[in-house]
Amino acid sequence: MKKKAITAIFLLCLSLSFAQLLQEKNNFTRQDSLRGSITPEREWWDLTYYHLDIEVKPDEKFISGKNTVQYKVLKPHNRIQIDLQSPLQIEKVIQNGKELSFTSEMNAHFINLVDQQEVNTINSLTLHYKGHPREAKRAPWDGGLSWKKDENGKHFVATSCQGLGASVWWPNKDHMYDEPDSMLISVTNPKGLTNVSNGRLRNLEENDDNTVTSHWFVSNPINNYGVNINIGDYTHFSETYNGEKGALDMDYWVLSDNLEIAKEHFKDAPKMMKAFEHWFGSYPFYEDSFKLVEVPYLGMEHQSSVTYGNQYKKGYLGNDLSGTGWGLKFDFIIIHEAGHEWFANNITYRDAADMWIHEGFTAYSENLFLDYYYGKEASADYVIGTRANIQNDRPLIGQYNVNNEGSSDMYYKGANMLHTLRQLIEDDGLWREILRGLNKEFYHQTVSSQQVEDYISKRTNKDLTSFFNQYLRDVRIPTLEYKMKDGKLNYRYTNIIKGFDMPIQVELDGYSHWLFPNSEWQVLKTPAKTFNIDRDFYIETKEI
Amino acid sequence: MISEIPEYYFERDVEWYDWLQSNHDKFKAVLLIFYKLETAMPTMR
Repeated sequence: MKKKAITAIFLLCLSLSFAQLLQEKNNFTRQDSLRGSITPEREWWDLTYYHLDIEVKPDEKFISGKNTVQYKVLKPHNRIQIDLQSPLQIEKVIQNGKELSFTSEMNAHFINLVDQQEVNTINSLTLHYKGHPREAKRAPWDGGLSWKKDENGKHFVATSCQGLGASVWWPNKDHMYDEPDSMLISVTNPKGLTNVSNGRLRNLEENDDNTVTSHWFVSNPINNYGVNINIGDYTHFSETYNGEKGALDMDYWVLSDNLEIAKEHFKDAPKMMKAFEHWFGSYPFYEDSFKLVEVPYLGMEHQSSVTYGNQYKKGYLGNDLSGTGWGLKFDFIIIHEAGHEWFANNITYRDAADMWIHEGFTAYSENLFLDYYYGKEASADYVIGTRANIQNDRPLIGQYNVNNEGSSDMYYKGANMLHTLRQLIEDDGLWREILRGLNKEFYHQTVSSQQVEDYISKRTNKDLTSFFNQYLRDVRIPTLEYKMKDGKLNYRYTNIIKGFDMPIQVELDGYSHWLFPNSEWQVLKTPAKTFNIDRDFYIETKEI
Repeated sequence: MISEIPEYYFERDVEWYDWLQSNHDKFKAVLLIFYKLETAMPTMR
C-alpha cells in the first residue's frame, strides 16, 4: 500500500454544466421497477428472520452458501420474489424438503411455491447460491465486495452495497420497506482471519479444513444494506458506556497494527454516543452492542457494526468539509456514520427516493455534535460552511418505486434545511424533543418522507407543507429581494413555489425582528439605517 | 453513506492546471492525491 496524502480542493463556482451532466434519470427500466417497487410477489409476505450462512474464499474471490428466509403469510399467493445479482447464481431453493422451480427476470427470481401458504402462518425457504460477486469499484459508493490486502499482505475483505442493493452479495428481499425482526449471520473464512458482522458474536467454531466459522446474531430489525461481513487480521478492544438505557458495550475491531492508534483515536466514539443520546434519544440497538470496525474503504453505517476507514484522521480524510476549521474537531466518519444509527438504521426510508431522511438528518448530526461540545455558534458556523458543497442540481427527493435517489444535496442542503427549521421553531427544547420524538415515534420502522414531515408539522403546530415542498421537492433556493429607502423596507420572495411564505429573522439597527415575506412586495416603515438577515436561514438575498 | 467527493491524481502540476481549465465549473470540491516522498511515485509537489 503506497503512502499518500489526500487534500480537499474546493472549487467555489457556479456549476451549470455539472448540473446538466446530472440531469434526472427518466428512462427507468423494468429492472428498476422490479428492484424498487413492492411487487405482487413481495407484498403478500412479511419478513421475520434471515439466517445467512456462507463461506468466503478470499484467494478465489468466491462465496458460496445459503440464506434461509423466514416469513409470515399476509395473504395467499404461490410465487415469491427473491433478488440476487449476477454473476451470483441460485443453485437451488428448498421449502419443506422439496426443491422448488423458479424463473428469473434479470436480478429478480420468482420462486414457484408448492405448499399452501396459509394466512398468518410462518414459513421458510432456503436459497443455496454461489459465485464470484461483483467487486466494488469505488466502495462504498460503487460497492460490492472489496477484496483488498493489508500492509502485511493479509486478506482484508469487506462488503458495501447501499443503493446497489444487498442482493449484490446475498439473496434476499431487496427492498427497504421490509426488514427481518432478527438475523443470524454465519461466516466461514480461512483460519488466521476474523470475520466481524452485525450484532453480537454468538460463537466461534474451528473447522477441520483450516477454516473458522463465526456466528453473529442481530436481535433487532435490520435493513438489507446494513448487513455486512468484514474479514481481516483483526484485534479487538472494548469499553462499557453508561448510557440512557444502561450499560452499552462499545467494541472496536481494528487491524492488529493499528491497535494503539485506534485506542487513542476512537475516543470520539463515546463522545459521539453522549452527544447523540442527548439529541436523538437512547442508542437504538443496546441489545446488539455498538461496534466500530476498520475496513479498506472510507466507511458505512452498517447497523451495530459501523465501518471505519478514515485513516485515523480528524475531518474527512484530514479535511474540513465546512471550510471553517470546526470540521477538524472530530473524526468525520465516526460521527457521521454512527449518526446513521438513529437516522438510517432506527428510522429507515421505505423507498430510496426518501434517502434524505438518512443523509439530511445525519449530515445535520455533525453540527449537533459540535453544538453539544462547542456551542451553538460553532454548530452554525459549520453547517453554514457546508453550503459551499450544495449544487442545487436536482430535488432532494427522487422518484418513487424505481430505486431512485434524490440529489447528493440531500446531505448539506438537507442539513441546512433542518438548521433553518430549528430557527423557525425558535425553541431549542422543543426542537430536541422533536428529534428525540422522531426516534421514538418511528422506532425500528421504515418510513416515508411524508410521515416525517407530518410528524414535525404536528409537533410544531405549524403547517410546514410549503417549507418542505420548497426545500425537498424543488431545486430553487428562496431569494429575498429588498430595498431600503426613505424610511421604508420593501421586501418579497422570488424563486419560490406557490404559497411559500417562510418567516425570517432580521436585524434592524441591531435589533432582532421577524419578517413575513411572500411573493408580493411588502413594506415595513422603519427608521433603521442597517439591515441584516440572520445567516441561519438558508435563503439567498438580493438588494434591489 | 458519506457524500462522494471525486479523487484525482496528477503526476505533474501542469496536468492539474489543464484539468482545472476544463473542469473548474463542474465540481464543488475534489480530493487531490499526493504521494509521499518515500514512495518515489511521481506526484505534484
